[in-house]
Amino acid sequence: MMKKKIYRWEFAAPALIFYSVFFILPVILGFYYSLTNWNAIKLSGEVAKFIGFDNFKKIFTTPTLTAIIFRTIYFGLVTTVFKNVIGFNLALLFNKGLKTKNTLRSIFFLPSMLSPLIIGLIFGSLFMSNGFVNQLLTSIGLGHITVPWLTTKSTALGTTMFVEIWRQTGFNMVIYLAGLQLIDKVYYEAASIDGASAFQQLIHITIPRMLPSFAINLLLNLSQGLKAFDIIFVLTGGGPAGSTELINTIVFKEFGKKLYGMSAAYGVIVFVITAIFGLIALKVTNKDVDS
Amino acid sequence: MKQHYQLARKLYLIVKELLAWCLTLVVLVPFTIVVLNAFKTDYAALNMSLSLPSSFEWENFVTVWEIGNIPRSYMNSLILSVSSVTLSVFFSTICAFVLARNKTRINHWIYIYFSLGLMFPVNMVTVVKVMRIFGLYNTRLGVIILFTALIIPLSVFLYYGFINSIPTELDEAAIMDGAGGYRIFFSIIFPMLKPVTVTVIMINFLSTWNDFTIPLYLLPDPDKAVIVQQVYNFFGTFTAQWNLVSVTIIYAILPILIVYIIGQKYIISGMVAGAVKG
Repeated sequence: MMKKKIYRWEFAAPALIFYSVFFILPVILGFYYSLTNWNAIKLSGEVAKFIGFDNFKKIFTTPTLTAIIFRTIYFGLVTTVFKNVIGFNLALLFNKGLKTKNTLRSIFFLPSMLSPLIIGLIFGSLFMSNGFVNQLLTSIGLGHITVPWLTTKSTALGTTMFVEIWRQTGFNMVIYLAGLQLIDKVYYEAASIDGASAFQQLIHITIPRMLPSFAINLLLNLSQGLKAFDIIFVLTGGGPAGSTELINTIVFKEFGKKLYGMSAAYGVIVFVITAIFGLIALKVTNKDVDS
Repeated sequence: MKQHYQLARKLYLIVKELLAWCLTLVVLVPFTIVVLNAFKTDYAALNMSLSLPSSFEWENFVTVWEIGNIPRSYMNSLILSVSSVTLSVFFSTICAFVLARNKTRINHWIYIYFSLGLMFPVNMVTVVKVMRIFGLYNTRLGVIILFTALIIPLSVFLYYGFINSIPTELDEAAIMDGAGGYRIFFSIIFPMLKPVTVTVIMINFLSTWNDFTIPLYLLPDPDKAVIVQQVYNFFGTFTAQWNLVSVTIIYAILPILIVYIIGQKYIISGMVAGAVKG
């Protein structure tokens, strides 16, 4: 009785309404419109006709379109692995011992605070055919491997992945630092007395106790990688010859062509893939830490 | 023997520190290049090299400030970010307060429902549709509302964890004194949430300030362009003039850098507390 008066349900209402109407409702509408031929050019006005799974059929029977989905998953997985491996190692390095560790942490965390678009722009200049990266390679005698990184079909995707990894590694580092600081020092003291080496301590104490941090980073990175847009948009725009086209860049392009039904279908595909990988990430890492 | 060991250890730490600083070059060099080239002539900046400028072209900064509409873009960005951050702080605290204090089954599900938003991708196509229905397309209010909706999940998530750690005895004491829900929230709980609020403000401010996708879809009006959009448009117009592009990049990064330098302690500790404990 008391609680009703004190913790009024209407306190929760504004957040709930805003979130439901402007975030969740569009997601649900997306499911519906993905089954329509909603196309602002062809039809007079914006009438959407129900066409069942035709959009999805078209996507999954056109090799170039299916390739975009696999490329997005590949982009998400590769960037996730690198961001985590490097981020974890940086966290171990900056966890203790170093005098300037706070400054170092801030420097590495900085890129993740900046707009992906700005970072894309900066790296776009560094990866030009006459840009800094090629200048550096030439000066250390590797002039023969210089290419215009972002406009060469074989290197463009790798280069965009590099930029994305560069941008987000510091973020992963910070989450891992948090995890490291939560581990009770008693475990390490006990292990040292038993004569465990630093490597053994890492394998048997640190890594198992870091599972919650791994889970968070895996989830966030996968969903971020699958949703990547700004960085690709500014670095390559999906080119050359579609070699860096990801789901969200194609969503934007189909949207620009006013093929809203198709665009919504891709939106649904991002949703489904993110949900699947999210569940897997949760399942894999959701073990009881203390067991 | 022991002295030798200590000396070796000291040396090891110094080497480790030096190596760590070498690693920072990977982060610092790209920014240094931007800063150096911002001062060059357009011809000298053509290659975006690491060399020092032969003369300092301060006019670049004046030029971009004027033709790049920097003050207006700052204003546009500021309006969108500050409004949506303020709205989301207000809505999320009070919502998290109810969800964390009154743990009914429904409230538990509502909390999970909010958490889904941490992972869900936004469907921009239908967001545009919804915005058109409400007459909010190509308006600042529309973007503010959408930003608010998008940052609510993380804010609720962070506040919820923190409110859980505030003892309920405080509420009970206040109830004994005859305080109602509004009173308890505004005079007791909200002031105690200050550390998380600082974090929530910082994180949300940065993420809304940096966002490019939503203005790109929802705010095509060039007069309402935010700073990041402005940089992108500017890049399109002056592709070959890397000196001017570098200057716009600096203008776009500067406010973020200031916020980051002031708030990095809170940002990092807030990420840490919310992420791992929650």
